[in-house]
Amino acid sequence: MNKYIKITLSISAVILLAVFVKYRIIEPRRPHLEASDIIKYFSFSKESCLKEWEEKILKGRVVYRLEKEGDDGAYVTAKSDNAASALYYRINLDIGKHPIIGWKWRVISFPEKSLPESIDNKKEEDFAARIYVIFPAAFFTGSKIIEYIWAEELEEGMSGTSGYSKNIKVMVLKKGPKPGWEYEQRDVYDDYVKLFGAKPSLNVGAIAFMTDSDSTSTEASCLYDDIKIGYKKGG
Amino acid sequence: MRLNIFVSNKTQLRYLLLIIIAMLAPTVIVGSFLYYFIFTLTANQIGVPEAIAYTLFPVIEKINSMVIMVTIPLFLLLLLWGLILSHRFCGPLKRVERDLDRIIAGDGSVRLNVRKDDDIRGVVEKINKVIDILEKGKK
Repeated sequence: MNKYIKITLSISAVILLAVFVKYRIIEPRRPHLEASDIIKYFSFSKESCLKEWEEKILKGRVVYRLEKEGDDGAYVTAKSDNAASALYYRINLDIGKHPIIGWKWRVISFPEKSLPESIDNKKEEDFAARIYVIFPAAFFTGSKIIEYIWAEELEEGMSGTSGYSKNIKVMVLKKGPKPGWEYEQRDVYDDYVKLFGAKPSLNVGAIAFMTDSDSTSTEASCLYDDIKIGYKKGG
Repeated sequence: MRLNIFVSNKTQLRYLLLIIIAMLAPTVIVGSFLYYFIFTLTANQIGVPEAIAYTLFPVIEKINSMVIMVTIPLFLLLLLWGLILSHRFCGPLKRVERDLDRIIAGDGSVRLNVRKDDDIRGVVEKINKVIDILEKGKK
């Protein structure tokens, strides 16, 4: 084969691959919870998966339901119309063993805000997607919470304290619209130390996820899938 | 109404403490359990951390300040009530003890005397009868 044809074909293949990856026609393999001990895995392939989660209603009811994807895949869609309710799962995790939480998510639409987005603004405290890690104390006023959010305007990696309580720390994992699924994996122990500035003394007691749009009285939508909970290798 | 409400003896102090503890302990225990369980169960029911902080934290603050405001007058009221109750029991006893000391010292004309509504009035009347019999025996 002509040398120039080979070069042209190679370049075309690379460009094609880049386009496929860019538009998620081919999903790149990403590290997704390489935990040695996966304690709980929610693939959301069966309707019964959602029944394990308690619904916690704050205002109105966000519609959480399973959507089928292909033959065996499925995910949770969350649609909020001026509502705020979460799905809550109680699980006891030994913080000393470095709990790892992994999931994938995809924001479809963000709540519309009139003010610049901020972590501690209680007036428009809506996010298209958030995952809670809850550390319950003997009395709830001492409980600590880590909240991973997908924001529209806040920079990725940004963190801060919620306007509601100094015990709620918020970390921005994703910013703005993305074309496809985004994968996350968090070492809860490390994030706690980073956010609270001290080693955790409480175990994890629950995790939750929520899409809300009640403060802005608008709509928001997100997809959640593959929630995995486990411990770090050698943790 | 007796003016000297504190007769300052160990018995009254013991009864006073017993009365105060008997009144305070159930109040504190039941109150603490209610406080703890009502708020813990409510927080568990709400679940969403922001909602807990928004709805329950202000309530807790209000209740705490109310408890602090009410505790001091309530304790003073309990103390006063305890003093009245303990005095009602120990006051006559002190008086009987004093009269008996006089009888032992040889004053045969002394009779035990308590007020009409004192709880030990029946016992005192019987002791007076015994003293009468003993006095008659002497003569």
